[in-house]
Amino acid sequence: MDRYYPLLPIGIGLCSLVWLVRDIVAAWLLGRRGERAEGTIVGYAETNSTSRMIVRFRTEEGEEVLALHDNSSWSAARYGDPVTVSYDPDNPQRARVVAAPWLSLWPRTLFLTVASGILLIGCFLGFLTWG
Amino acid sequence: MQLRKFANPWCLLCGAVAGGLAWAVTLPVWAAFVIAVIIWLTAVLVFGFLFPTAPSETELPADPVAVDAGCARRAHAAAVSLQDVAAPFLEGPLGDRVSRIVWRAGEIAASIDHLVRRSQELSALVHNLAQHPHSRGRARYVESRHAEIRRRMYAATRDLEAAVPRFLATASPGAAPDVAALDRLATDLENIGYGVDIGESMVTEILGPEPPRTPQAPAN
Repeated sequence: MDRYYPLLPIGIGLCSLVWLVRDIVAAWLLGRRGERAEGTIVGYAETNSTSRMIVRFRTEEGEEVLALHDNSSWSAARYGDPVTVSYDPDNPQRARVVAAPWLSLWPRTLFLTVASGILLIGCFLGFLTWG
Repeated sequence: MQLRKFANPWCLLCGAVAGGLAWAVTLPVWAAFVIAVIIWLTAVLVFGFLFPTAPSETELPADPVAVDAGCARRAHAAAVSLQDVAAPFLEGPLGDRVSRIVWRAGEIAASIDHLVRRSQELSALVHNLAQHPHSRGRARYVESRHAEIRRRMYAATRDLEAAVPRFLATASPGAAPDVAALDRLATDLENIGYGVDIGESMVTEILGPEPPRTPQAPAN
């Protein structure tokens, strides 16, 4: 198994990048196909490991929806903050906050940098081991 | 060992990347898994069976004992050749440089010869260690060091053989010698000797210093 140890950093980097790409693609698809609505932050759904924002908004049909949004920002939103969400008209629970004062590109950039670094280190080790 | 081709890490990676990308573009997990398997098997088929890459020079040969013996012969022949082509220059103005080159080449050949002899002891040690479950870790370590020593031997032999035409190119009888090129060759030979010396220290670290040879009894 000594031969396969570079797969560990490669796997970690790859999984992180794939997760990031999936997140971006999902946001892009929702933004393209989804409807937009104004909403407000009404609290947090907390578990032992995660904390997701609960956003309340009203669909075009007038249905009031409470949806969860991953908190991927440096600063957290406060109760009552106004936000813009994009939601799937067929399943309004699938909603993401697309515009808010606290949304930032930095977390994704940092994640991308760290994941790419780990992946590159793994590839270099792989090159040395398997090259 | 066809099964080893399926365990090629690069092919596994191809499959993993394809499957990951498929999942990332929101395909279901089962579909991403199927794509990963298809890409992995395709990579094995293409790079393992249809267009297999030639083994690299750093890869160890199938019969290392025979290659080791040939290595010592080639190194010795290269050192002798270098001595022959350098002989006309030993008395000239470049005599010091040339004699140093010749001496270093002989030292490298002697070191390679010594490493080849001790390489057989290392093989025996690996074999013995691998017999006992509690010493398999040590066996793997010795095996990896042995592989490194062999790589150094083969690389040094190749470089020593290449030194002969290099010397002829820099100093041929009747032409003005290229002193700078000669100095570069001398430096390279020092580096080659240094690499072989590291191999010797690896052997000594594992096997300990070589016991002195028992002198042969004089013939009556």
